[in-house]
Amino acid sequence: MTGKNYIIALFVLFLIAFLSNSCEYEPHKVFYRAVYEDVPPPEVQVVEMFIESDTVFLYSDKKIRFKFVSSDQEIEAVRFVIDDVEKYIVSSNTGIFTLVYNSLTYGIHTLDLEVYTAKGSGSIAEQLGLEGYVFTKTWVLDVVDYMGNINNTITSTVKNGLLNLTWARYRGSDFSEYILNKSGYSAEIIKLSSNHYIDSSYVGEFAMYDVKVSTADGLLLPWGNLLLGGDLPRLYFSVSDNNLYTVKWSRSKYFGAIDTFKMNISNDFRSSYSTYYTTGNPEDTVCNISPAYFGDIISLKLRVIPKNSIQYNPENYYLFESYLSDIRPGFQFSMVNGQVIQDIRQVSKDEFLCIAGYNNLIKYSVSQRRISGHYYFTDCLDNEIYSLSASASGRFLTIYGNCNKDVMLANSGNFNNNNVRDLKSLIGDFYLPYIPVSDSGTVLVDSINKGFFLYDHPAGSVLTYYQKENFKTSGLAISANGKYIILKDDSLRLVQYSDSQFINIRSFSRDSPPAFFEFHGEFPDRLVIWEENEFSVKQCADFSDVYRFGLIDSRILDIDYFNNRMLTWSAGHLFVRSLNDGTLINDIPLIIDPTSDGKACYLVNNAIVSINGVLYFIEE
Amino acid sequence: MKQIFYILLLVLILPLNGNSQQFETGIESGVGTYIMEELKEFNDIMTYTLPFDTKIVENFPMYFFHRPYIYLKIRNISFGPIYTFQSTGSRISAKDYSGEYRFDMIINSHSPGIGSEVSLIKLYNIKFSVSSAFAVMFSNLRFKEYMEVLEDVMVKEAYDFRSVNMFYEPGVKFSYPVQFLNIGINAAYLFQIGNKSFYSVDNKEAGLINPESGEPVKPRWSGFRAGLSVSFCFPQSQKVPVNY
Repeated sequence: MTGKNYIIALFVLFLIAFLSNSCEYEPHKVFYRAVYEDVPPPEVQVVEMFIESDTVFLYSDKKIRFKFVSSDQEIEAVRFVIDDVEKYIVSSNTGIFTLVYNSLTYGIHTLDLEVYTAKGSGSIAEQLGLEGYVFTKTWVLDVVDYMGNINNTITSTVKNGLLNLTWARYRGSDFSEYILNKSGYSAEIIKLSSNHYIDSSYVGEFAMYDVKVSTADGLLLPWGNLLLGGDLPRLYFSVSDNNLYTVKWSRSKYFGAIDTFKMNISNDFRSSYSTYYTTGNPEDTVCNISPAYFGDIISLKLRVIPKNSIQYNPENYYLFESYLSDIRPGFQFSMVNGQVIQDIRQVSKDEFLCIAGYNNLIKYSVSQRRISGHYYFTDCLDNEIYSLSASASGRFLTIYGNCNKDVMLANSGNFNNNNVRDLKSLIGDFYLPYIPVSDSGTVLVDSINKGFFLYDHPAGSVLTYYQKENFKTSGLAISANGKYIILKDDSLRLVQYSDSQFINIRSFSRDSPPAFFEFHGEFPDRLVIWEENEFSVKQCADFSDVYRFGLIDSRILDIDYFNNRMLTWSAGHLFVRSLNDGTLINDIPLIIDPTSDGKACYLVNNAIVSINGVLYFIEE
Repeated sequence: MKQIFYILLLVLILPLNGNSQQFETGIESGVGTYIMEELKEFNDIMTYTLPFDTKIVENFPMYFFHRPYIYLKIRNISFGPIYTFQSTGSRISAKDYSGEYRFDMIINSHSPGIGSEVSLIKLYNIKFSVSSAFAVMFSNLRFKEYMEVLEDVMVKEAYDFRSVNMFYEPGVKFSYPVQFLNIGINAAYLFQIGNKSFYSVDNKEAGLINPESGEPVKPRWSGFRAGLSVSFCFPQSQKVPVNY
């Protein structure tokens, strides 16, 4: 019984012990803080911050210095947010925030400024930074891609004869000034606040303009440039029907800046120029070039003198000059000025053939003043044409053409009516002598050896071969009907080809041949010859005179059988004479020697044709 | 610890074999003071590390303890097993319209041990005794931190720590019999024996450290104890003169 009571007592004690655990201490007191909930917001004032507009244009890194003061509550933090992403936060009322140009994509962004102040209540939330006042300001942030357009940012116009330059306006608030640098060979620096500049010194010369923007931070941003490659008046040379030579120039757009125009002329391939004409009138743009003569080569230079330019000095005169070089006074018949003309051959009353620019066979109509026929080889790169010959009548021609330099026999009235033969077996591979041709297609092929072949080009067969021992023999000409040949062996001979035989008709000294001789262009059985100041037309068969007259000029240059006239030369003069009796038709002053290389002149219809590619029209 | 356990077990079992003894069982409850100086220091540090004003509104004040016991009574000596439960705590508090913060520390200890009494004199039926107790203290410390700001609960955390120490508590007792009960008044002083610091329940390697000094934090249960006791003896014996 005692033990049982003891167990019960123990149980009761443990129960009491368990229950006593529920009497654990439990804190319950609360400390109520003294705070002021309804505190009015402070007034925040900007002490320093340089963003005055609603849009911030960003052209480079931009430092934003700021300082704010609050009327009551303390400024806890300043925060900058771009496109909802925090970029800068400082637990102060002052600082410097840098907008980094390269960290932003080009275009429009949103820039938010948030100024946090305490609430002033002293609450737990405030102490933890979770309660306060925030003042926000939002800007549009435009990150400008100006570098991509830098070459196009200066535009030039001309107003009242002066160059006007305009460039895109720098819209950043940190703008200080534009610095315009003009450079040709001397540099000029112009500082200005406007994005517009009138250059009263520019007259159209080569010039470079470069604009930079100077910012308040002292940065120099490349802003634009402009290259003016030169806009001086262009010169145009013209010739009138009465052979007056005139140079015209385009009216200068920059007349407001120009003081004087000076026209200079050179007759010695630009070695020296002399001033020929001066004017200050911008409307005066025409000048007659009386010192120019047919067949000559002249160069013209127009210098534009500005009223006021530090660029204009002797070292830089060429920047202010327009040129027209190596002009051939006359009416140009070549395809381009200065084109090399070779082998002028009259083929009809009004037309002549020539090789123009090495690879063009052209036929030119004098009366129509245009190219009436054109042929060139298209099947290879080396399509040059060599050694144009025409029959005495002008009806047929021979040239070397195509890639293989074969000999083409063609009708001069229709180049496409032609026949091409490879005659290298007769001539050799590298020898391209003229191929005299008759109207029947019989041609004289000078062999690289001692003689020459009489060759039937249409048939493609050799008719005969002629040579003479110990002398190089050449076939110089063949009459239009193919019956007569002028050849040179030990003598200069007129021969008749008949029954495969060469019959000598007349011989002349090889060393002192007649001054001029050739088969008649209209009468195939006749020959013209000029020796000892006697001009005569002879029958080939017996060498008898058809007619003759005295001719004392220095040289016969050409005979136009179709129009029955001849062209002769004596120093300082070209003479057009009648073929019938030598009477003078025209006397044309000339300062060149047409018998020298590259100066040859021909007579076709009413024009003198210069190997320089120009025509001189004879006044009828 | 095993030795203490075996001693307690022996004390609990021994009375079952005796027939001539008398048992006294009862409970002693009262209030105690608790030094807890290191935890108070911890609170002080907490207050000035917080970013807003707070106040230590409760700082380990006097609080109730309870001690049931059962003694074997032989002549004028009583001894036997005791169990002591004591508790106190603290609070750091701040509250306003925007929110509330509180940091509570609640500490208790469960202390099984051995108690004894020796009756010295009895005058006018009032018995004066001296007492002593020796026990193992299993201390439990709980941190509870709570913060609500702008109706948003930002912190709600609890951390538990343990510490094991011992105590010795000498005291005096005046008791007076009322029918079959003995009503007593007790006074004592608890001396904490041992200086073991707190360790985390979740990780025994992690202790509670004073953030300023870096020293481990320990409980300090030492302090005065005063209370009332109620007990009764069984089996009830005939009244025999007692010679002191």
